[in-house]
Amino acid sequence: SFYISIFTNLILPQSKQKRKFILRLKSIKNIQKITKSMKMVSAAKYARAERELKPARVYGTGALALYEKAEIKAPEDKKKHLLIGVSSDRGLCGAIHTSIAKTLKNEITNLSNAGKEVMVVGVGDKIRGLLQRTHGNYLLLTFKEVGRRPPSFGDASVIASELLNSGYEFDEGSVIYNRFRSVISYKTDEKPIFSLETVAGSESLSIYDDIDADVLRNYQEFTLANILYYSLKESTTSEQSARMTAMDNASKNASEMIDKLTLTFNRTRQAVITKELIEIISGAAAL
Amino acid sequence: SPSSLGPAAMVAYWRQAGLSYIRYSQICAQVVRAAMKPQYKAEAERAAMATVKTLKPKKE
Repeated sequence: SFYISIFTNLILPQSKQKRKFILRLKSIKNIQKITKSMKMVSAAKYARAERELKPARVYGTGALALYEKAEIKAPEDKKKHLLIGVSSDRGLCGAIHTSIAKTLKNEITNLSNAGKEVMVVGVGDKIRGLLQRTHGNYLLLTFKEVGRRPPSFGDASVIASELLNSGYEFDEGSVIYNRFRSVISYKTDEKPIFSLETVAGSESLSIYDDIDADVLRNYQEFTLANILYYSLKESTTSEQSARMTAMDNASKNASEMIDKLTLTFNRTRQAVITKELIEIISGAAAL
Repeated sequence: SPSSLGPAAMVAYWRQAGLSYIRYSQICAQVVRAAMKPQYKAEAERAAMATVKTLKPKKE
């Protein structure tokens, strides 16, 4: 900044140019500070999310175990389908929201072409934003205030209760979420949910003892909350790790820009000084 | 509906009262939390807080 002050004092005709230049440099430096701090915040949230994910996975795998072991499948003629897209309210996390929205849009197209009725539930304001314009008529419910605090089982219960009270009697459905694989990778995954009638009507259920309609209904309701809880936990962990990566890349890009700008700045400054010197020397030689 | 099942069906009292299993387990968990010792109670209540808000799309 010593050089910056010399520059500003000596070279007046280019003052507008250099002021723009200095402002640009300052703004990029500020942005870099912001992205760096966002990365730190995300890193802390990620550490907590990953810690809470480990016990949460048990709920999801436990709830889905019955569907897998009993090989429950919805009969082909069932018409009503439900898609739940799990994401969050906040951006700056790479492709987290767009990958969920893309999968949702593809599924909507496939199911509609197969003649099924589809409704979509968006967990997180970003899903609503991405789907509203083109697929707004498929949106059944949206949930916001997702992502501000780590998700709890209470959140999953609220979502499950609203779904059950929504009046949309779906036959089967899927939860689409981002499954956490590692700090640098996540994958968009899909887990099935079935209606009470589908499960009760499945032949393989007769091998289980002591299941009556009431027990099954309780289990179905609780399973829905469990699957949602599991997908919320996986989703937040993926989101925080993606935001960490995105902010890290942004900081790196900003440093690159700062270096390039500083180089051209110094080169320009030196060129102007050289030109002045030459003018002075050639002027002296003319005397 | 559960009340239309035969006399041998065991429909839980809370189901008959109109509660879903999710609501029933929520109330049970609340009771457990209320019975906890103070040093564990605050932490448990914080962990159980639900912050999600529902948004029903406007019907045109």
